[in-house]
Amino acid sequence: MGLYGGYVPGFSRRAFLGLGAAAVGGGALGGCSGRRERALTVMTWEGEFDEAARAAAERALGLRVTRIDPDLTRLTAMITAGSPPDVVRAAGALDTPFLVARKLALDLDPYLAASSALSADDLEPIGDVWRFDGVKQGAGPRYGLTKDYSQDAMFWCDAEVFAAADVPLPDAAKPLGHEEWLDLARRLTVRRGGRTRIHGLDVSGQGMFVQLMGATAAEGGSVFSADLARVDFSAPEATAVLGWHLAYMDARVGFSPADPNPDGWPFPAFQARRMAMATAGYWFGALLDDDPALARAAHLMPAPLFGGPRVSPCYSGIGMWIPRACPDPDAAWAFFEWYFGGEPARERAVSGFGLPALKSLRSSLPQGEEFQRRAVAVQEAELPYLTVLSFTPYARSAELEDIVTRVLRKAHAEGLSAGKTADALNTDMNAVLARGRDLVG
Amino acid sequence: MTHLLLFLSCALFLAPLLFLALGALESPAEQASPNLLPERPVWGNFVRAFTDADFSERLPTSLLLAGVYAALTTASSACAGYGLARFRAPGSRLVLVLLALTMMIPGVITLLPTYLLFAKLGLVGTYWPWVLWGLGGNSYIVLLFRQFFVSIPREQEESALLDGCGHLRVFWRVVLPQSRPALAASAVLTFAWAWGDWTAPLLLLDADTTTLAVALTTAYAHEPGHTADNLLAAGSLLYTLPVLALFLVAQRYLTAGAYAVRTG
Amino acid sequence: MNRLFYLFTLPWVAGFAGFTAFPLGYAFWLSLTNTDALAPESRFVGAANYAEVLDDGLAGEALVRTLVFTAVTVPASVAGGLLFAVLLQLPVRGRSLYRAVLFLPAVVPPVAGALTFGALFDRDTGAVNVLLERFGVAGPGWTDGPRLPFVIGVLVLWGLGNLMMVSLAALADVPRDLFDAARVDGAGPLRTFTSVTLPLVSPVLLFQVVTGVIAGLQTYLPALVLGSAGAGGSLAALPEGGYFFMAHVYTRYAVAGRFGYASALLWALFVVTLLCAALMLRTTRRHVFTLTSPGGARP
Repeated sequence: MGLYGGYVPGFSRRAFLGLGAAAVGGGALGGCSGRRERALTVMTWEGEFDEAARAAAERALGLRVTRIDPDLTRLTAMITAGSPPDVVRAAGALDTPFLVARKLALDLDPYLAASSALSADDLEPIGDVWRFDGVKQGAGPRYGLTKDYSQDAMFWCDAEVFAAADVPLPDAAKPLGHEEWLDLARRLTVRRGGRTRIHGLDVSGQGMFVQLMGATAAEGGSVFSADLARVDFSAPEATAVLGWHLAYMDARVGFSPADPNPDGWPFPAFQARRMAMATAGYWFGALLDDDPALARAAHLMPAPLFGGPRVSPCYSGIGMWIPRACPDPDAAWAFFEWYFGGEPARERAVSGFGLPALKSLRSSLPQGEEFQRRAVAVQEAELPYLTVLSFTPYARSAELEDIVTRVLRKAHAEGLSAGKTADALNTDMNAVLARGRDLVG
Repeated sequence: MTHLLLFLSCALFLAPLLFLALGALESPAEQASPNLLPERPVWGNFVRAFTDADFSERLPTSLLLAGVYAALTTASSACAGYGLARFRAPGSRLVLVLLALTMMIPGVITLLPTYLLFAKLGLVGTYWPWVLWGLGGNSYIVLLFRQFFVSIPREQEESALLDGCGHLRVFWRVVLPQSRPALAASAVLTFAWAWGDWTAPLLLLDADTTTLAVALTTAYAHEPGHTADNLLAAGSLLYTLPVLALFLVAQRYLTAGAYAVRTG
Repeated sequence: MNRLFYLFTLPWVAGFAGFTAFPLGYAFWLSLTNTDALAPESRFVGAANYAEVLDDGLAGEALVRTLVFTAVTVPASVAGGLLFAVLLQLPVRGRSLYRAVLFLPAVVPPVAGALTFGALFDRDTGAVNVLLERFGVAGPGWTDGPRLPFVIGVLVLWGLGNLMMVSLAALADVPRDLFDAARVDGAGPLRTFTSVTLPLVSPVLLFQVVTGVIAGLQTYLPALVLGSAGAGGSLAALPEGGYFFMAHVYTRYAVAGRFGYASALLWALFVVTLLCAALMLRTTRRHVFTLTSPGGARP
């Protein structure tokens, strides 16, 4: 008996919906949702679109606007039911190919071309993470806009922790080499008994997969094959990067899959003055406002060098997309113009929480304080090295993160070599990618 | 001896809550530090927790949904439990088996189809699903009631029936008054479930109609996934108060049980 | 009589049809496909997902871990709940306060409870290790590895208030005169407990154990909350010790988006649960006082 059934034409998302409808008594109830006044539904976090912003959006657009929390199950259910949210939050750098391959996102080029509030020329290069032509990210139609971003491989130093360890602060004008970086981390780490008092360095805060992906690009290679359908961690560049990260885990200088950060990201430990260097991009900027002592000690540094070209990618590029099934894309686009080109965009830029995605707002970054000027100067010098890396359309980033964490933990526990670790990563990830390709390829 | 045991147990049970309370008084910089006592307690955290999670709007919603669900579930489950405990009919064994099987089904499996169902009915974004869920009863509670009814002697019911009361009336006037412990347990349990559940509101409600449980998980984020733990701790303490109050009210009935009624 | 049975159980049966049978059928349908519920096309794959379940090493490990965890925590919490219920039946001064305190953790929101324990047991900043260090013991990492089930177990026991409450209600149902009779017969407290209390509440205890095992096999929330912070708050990459079967299902479902496969995993869990429940009911048949047919008497 064959386990795999044949292909059934027309067995589509709509067919699932049809099944649901049949079970509930046919399409007779289909029109029920039309009873209430239609509202523009925005799926995003409260932190990025709070109650005041929602009210402001209603005033600006003359529409009822509701917000729902991002939740994969909810999104999937809404799309399956044929009533997706009008606007959905996502990370452009990781999600664009996935959304495009599933034909979920609306091509925004025509809207952008016709818009008076937003223009393609004013978009920072980071906007390109939302473009995908099928094999390359950064080219082809545009499927979303970036809210704010950061060059996430950049890291912060706590000058006081450096001083206490009698280690000189690195030069912000000159990127560190990766060996030197790990060396510093070792010298800065303080342990007592089983507890780590001071972490020398954290590179795990944004996820290990993107960390490996970025570092491999900085080594001159790529974790994905040219058609994005496979990973190859056995290529010399990727293996070298894996070796460095295994050494980082062995050195126990900071959080990693073998020693997860209970806070989920490095800021709390950095704020508690328990971390000397934290890979986090520009993001700490706005959070330092409330803590003057910490702000004085916090220095932003360029992304470290690996063996290849100087690159400084963005690992998320948070923004929004509009589902193709959105019943009123014009209203959704009006929301885009307001959220990405209007008052909210200016407010975000002024707060210093991430870098603005519009060139015209770049000068609005806060520079009133010494620490702000210092960070902006380093950031300005880093911008030319921004690189858009291509992510695969055949897997969710979270699934690859799941695998990388499990494999690295095992590699650390069993003392596996970089080559063996690469083999394990290739096997597990390529199985996932093959499945994804089977589904949408 | 009993006292000592209870006292020590209570101390042990309270310790994490005390830790939670201390966490609620920490300043942001102290959250990830190893000190146990906050240097200077930030009582304002409770105020911020209250306003950030919009308690004034979310609290009534949670009370309403949990109250409606608890009342309806208790009522319909008691009915079903009574039916199972007292009557036999073709299919009664099947119902008992299905009840048991239903409890073995992990809720995750039903999320997507449940949404599709309510989307078809036009009830997404409304509170009607909680009414429907309540009317449908809960298998655990049905079985709980069945076990209680089974252990209650039938003489009083039979004599009431002989007096000419209908079965519904017997159920209402004779059986339920003897079942206060079970009713109280059911009310507290179902209220606490609906109170604490956040998958259903997350799936079906919007930010301005949702419950406190959802608001708690998202309202205190600097960045998504990066929560202000001090505010979360403060909010969680406030959040437990209504259920605790309900328990304090219900616990009298839990212990002043059936025998008191029977012998009284 | 027939009519009455249907009348009383009708609401539940209707709810079952709408909220259980339909979703289950739907999930079964999904489990025969390779859908991720987002891709525009998906395929009927027959039993392929089920074949993969049998071959899924992670699922097997997770299942064993879950079974062991359940076998330890469920009897412990049921016994604990009964112990407290019995003690609180005694005329102890301040017992309503004790009752409230012991019940309190059961109403702490699960996420807050898990976060609290995560903070308590944190390797670098947690109170447990800070205290251990005062006594000169180097505290281990509790939540990042094989010790995680211990922390989750303590968390589960901490929340035994619900069980205590159900046991209290069951004890309240034991006719008073039976205790008096036992006392007249010269039985001590322990004897009274084993020969009067225990048999009389045994149906409720069995009920608690069976439902506890069913719920225990579905444990995932504390593991998810305690264990997932490490990956930026995402669901990816739970520490091994917290990787229970439902966590596996949940990550297949919400991380990998494999709705078809995750549904197959859930059906597999359902079968395991069924076997466990059948086993428990069969082996206890002789010892439990009345888990019984209608009317309270065994046929």
